[in-house]
Amino acid sequence: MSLLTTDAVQMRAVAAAAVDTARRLGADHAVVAARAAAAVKVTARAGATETALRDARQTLTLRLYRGARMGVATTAALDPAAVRRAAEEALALAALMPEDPDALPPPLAEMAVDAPLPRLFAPARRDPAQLRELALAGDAAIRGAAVPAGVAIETVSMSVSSSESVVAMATSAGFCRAQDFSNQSAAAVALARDASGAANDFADSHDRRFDHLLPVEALAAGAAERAAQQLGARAVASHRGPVLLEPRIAAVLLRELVGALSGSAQDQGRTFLPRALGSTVAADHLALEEDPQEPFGLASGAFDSEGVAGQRRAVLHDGMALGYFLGTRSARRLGMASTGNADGPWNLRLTSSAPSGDVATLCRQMGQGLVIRRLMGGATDPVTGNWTQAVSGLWVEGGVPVHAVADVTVGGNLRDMFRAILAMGQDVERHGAIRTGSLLIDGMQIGGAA
Amino acid sequence: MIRGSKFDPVTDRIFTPSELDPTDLSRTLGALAMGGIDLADLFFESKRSRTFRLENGRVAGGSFQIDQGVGARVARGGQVAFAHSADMRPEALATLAEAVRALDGGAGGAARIPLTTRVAGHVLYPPIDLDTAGDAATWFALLGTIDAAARAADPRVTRVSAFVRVVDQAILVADLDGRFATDLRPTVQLFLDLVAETGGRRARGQAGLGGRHGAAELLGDPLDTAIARAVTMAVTNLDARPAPTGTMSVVLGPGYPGVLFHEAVGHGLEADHHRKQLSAFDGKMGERIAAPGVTVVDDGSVPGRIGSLGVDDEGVPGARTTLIADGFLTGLMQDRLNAGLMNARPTGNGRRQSYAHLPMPRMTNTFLLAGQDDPADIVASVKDGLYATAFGGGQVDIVTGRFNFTTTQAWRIENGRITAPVEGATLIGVGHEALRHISRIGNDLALDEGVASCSKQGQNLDVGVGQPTIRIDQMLVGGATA
Repeated sequence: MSLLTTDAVQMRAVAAAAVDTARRLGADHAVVAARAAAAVKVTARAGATETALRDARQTLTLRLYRGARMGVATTAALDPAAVRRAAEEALALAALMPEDPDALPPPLAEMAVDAPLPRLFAPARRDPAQLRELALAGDAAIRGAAVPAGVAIETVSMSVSSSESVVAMATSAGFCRAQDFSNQSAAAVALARDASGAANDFADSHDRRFDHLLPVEALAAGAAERAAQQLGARAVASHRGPVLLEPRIAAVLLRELVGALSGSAQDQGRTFLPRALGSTVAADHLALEEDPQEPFGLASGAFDSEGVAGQRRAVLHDGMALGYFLGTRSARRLGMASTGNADGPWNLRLTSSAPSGDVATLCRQMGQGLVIRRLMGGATDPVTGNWTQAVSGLWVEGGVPVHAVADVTVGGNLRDMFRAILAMGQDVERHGAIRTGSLLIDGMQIGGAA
Repeated sequence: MIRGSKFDPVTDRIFTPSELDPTDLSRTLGALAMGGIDLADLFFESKRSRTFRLENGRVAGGSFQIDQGVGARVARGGQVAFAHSADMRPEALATLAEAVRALDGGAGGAARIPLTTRVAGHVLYPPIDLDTAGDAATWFALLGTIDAAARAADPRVTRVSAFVRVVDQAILVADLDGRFATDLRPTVQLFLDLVAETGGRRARGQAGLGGRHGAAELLGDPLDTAIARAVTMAVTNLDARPAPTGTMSVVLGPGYPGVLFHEAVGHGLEADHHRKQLSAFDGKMGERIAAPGVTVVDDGSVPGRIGSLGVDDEGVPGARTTLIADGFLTGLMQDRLNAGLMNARPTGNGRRQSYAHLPMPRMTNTFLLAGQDDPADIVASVKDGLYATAFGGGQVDIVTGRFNFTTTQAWRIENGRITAPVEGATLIGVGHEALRHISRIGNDLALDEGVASCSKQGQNLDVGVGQPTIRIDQMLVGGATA
């Protein structure tokens, strides 16, 4: 069965028709994206289904130009009257905009008119009843997980979902392409209780192919184990010292680096790494590679929302910044060429040439310090690089975890933190666009008990 | 009963473009009325939004957005089946009902559920729609004056971004009991984000204004105050030093710092968390959980406020619920699903981000009521601590009650005097413990300026927060230095 009631051919036609409407209304240039998505999601807990959802969405986004003035309108209604209203609104806005030649769409010659479409579509072909079975199996596995005596485990939620989407793009320059995507996911959230109180944690899996998701039983066991490990958490004394970021947290940190190297941040000076190109921004054992074409990659694509293709490239080499993440406008303003990153990074892979090992090895290397497993909230100042977070995790002494930690903050400056990375673990995980292992960082300020 | 081809303006806006009439709703609800279900409803939404953005005195962008659709839900016990559609025409409603029936797996139904009870209207906010809320040229001109005023206020201001969001959301909800309600909810918000620079140092200042009203309410004194606040924040932060780290007494100023009660109290008192026994406050109803004098309410019926609701997204009128009365836990925030399962009454807290999301118990305007103390005395009572007047948001883990939020404007307090400004510090605590450490409550209650938003399970909503100046005797402050 297919979730979508439309396809790439139809959505290309919708986008192309909107370009025609816009041109008839007087647009000098038109860039139109038409998106449709459909999903099924089932959640379970305590032996029963909690929610069963059918999700169906569609949007049409019009970027219309009068000369070098641009206005944007979006509509979820795709009937001709709604499309016409949206086009009129976009053109009315455009008339009020200042001229911004840098924001004009790229010429067709710079667009990905024939770049290959990576394989990103693998429909799950599961009906809601099959997803329900999996969700219930995961729920049962959480509740039946092996945990230490005195610990009770319950399910907060076990969810399984499958979605399909299609994105079509058409422009008045003659670009008209579409790409199909599928997204599958499963997530287990477990709650552990003992005499000391309660704690929760989760494990999840995302892939474009349903058969590549981690088994729900493995997610259930992981969530239950992590929740149980977090029981009895307490603060540690305030100090300055090393921290070990789990891969999920390391990926969050790398997103800050991507943000600092983005074209708009560089152009506007809203970055803690101004004019970073060619300078050392991270420890010299680190490299970061980008690949837009990875088959079934979570951040793969033949072109960005401006129709420009990304390139396989090195963003960092020996800790040195070799490239920015540029869309057309920021590239022109910086006197460079778009890197096809109008929507953010393509698949990124962090690698390290420093001695490495599994998590246990990195814990031994750290000796005494904090393993950060969750960021509870905090703030980043993109201008100064000031970074503080409330965190929870595990306290390591003598190279091994000795108790769970909560009620502590971790602070530092991102400019220093990327240079202070001592090692990356071999426990590489993919979180969205980013693949990284655990990161060991020295010299962080830990705020805890007096 | 809705009759005839002429409806009220809100109903008309939803019905007419999709060629709907009340019998279509009755028929669809009938299809959802399967044997053994406890709840069924249809939620129609037609929303239009405009945004206008100015950067450094130049118009930098604008957008227009149409969103529309219908969500259909049934529940039996705690099990919910839900589907939605952007297409609201009669044939799409039939398909939608079929999808929900298939997800639920039930049988039976009724030919029609007559719409018999219309929920009364309200006067909390006027029915302003987007097309009467001011045109783009007017908004851009206003943003231009803001840029000029911010630069004139202090020569160190080097970058000014200003952003306006204008939304009208028309909703219609109809349910299994034949109840139906409509509402037109205006939202106007203005955000200011500026950078001050001197001697190579840069610092950020932010402020905003918003509410459920038209454009005129933003102008004049409120706007001048917002500009002054953003400029003061940026200029103050130019001299900020790294925040201290450790447990200390904290004084939180009036207004937005009330986000403390949103995080430390509010989320833990949403009924869904209680029904599932996930909240750190579970089983504590009637117990003392805060110091005497601490009274916290959620009030969706404050006129003009951004969190206010004439009716919630399940057709229940917005109301005041006392969550904590003089230190004792007294109330939960309910939606229909959880109220039904907990044998309680809905409290007007059933909210959803859009037709494509399920309603949940959510906060509206949540605040600590005023006490007796002079704010200046409260600051003077602290020997060594932190005074914070602005935050960048907050989070809570409802299971443990652990919350945190990060300052955007704060100072040291030394010997009862406010001294050096400090950079962003993260404050953390456990809800029920922090509440016990509240030792002073000021007489200067204020709600925030109308730009707060709340995220729960991926759904974002505008909310109000507020409080008077308070002192908390012990709180962990985490900064970048020892």
